[in-house]
Amino acid sequence: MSLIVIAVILTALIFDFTNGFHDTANAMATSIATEALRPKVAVILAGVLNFVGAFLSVEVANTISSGLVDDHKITPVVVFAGLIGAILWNLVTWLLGLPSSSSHALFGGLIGATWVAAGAGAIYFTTVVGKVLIPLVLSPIVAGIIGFAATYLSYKITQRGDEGTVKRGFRLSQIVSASMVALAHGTNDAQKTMGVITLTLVLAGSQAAGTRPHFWVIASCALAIALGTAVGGWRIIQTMGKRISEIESPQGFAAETSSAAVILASANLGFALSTTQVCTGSIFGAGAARRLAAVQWGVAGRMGLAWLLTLPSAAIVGAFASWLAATGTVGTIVVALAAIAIAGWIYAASRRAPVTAETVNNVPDLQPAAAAA
Amino acid sequence: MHINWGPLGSVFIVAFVSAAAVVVLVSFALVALSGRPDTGASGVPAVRTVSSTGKTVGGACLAAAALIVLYGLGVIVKLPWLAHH
Repeated sequence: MSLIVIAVILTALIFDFTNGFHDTANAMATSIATEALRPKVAVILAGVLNFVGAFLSVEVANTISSGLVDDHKITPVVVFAGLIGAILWNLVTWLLGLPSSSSHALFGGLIGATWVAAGAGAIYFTTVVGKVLIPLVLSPIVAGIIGFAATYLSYKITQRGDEGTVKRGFRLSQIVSASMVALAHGTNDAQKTMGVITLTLVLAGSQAAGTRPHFWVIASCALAIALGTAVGGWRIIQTMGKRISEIESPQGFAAETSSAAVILASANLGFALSTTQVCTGSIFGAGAARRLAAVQWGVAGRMGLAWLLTLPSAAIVGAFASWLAATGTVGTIVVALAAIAIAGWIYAASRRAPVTAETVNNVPDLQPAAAAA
Repeated sequence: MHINWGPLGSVFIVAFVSAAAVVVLVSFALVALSGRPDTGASGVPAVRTVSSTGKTVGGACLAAAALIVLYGLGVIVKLPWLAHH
């Protein structure tokens, strides 16, 4: 195995780690916000379940490794450049507390890097559109509709019940539903990195095209995403749990159940959708079902903008990294060093106004959008 | 460019039905387990008590929700490391 292949695998695992802490919020933000789980317990539980979830399926990994780009026309250096684009976008959006899509970032980085290195002909646009872009656009809408309906039903049915019993029951149920989302996240997102590593091994001639990921690939991706998740991306947890809408336990349960159902149904069919967008869509749907004005639509606008920018931004960084890395070994080293420097700067910037497990729920009360308007 | 809309529609239907079913079942279970308020001699509602029927219905609803979740997981789990390359 050559040095560049080892470097790509390590970079892919770093991406997997950032994917984990970027997306801890998907499973646990509402449970932390409603205090169904303590913050640190929530992220550790999410980490363990992400680890388990990564072993459940490889359908999405197969889509990534054999369907997005022509593996005869690219090299491991191109994959490396694409990963750099994805990692940097993940870190920037984490710094801003924006729950953008790690999947979009990964696909954008890979597409940009491939486009520069081998031309547009090396990208399978039909697969990109059919199995990636359309699900990515539709998934938050679908999750929002399901989250809305589920929340409406839960409030309608339980209005005759005892308030204390209902609240306690939904809080306990939230632990199960949040666990399902964490499991679904591990199943769906760890597979993307498995797909990238498998693609790299195919490009390096270490694995036959069209074959499944090796066990060591599955295990290392499971470990990386679990560790990232257990670290806890507190900035994004705060945004999703406290800044979209004031979430009550029935809403949290309905949103998490909707998210888990969409993610698992999609993963089973090999659709590489964004768990972030699904979970955010569910939370918006759940928030709107209780009271439309309770949703902070300004936050939704900022998230929508970040979602629109994610794929092209990661693609531009990936394309630039690919162009620089194509100049030779020195170019590749420059890309790696520049990425390390930018990541270090982002981390240092985050320490100026840290969000921790202790402060994650310390957000001023939300003003209804109608009143604010 | 051909887009296969069938599987996308399936995802929506399966996710909608399963999520709604689980939420509805858990909600009914919580209502059943809430019990009914006992009315004291003065006519003022006192503590709520859960009848054995309420416990049975609540338990059955929770068991049905758990079965849906387990069935869904059973469909998803492919144990890829056991499959042949």
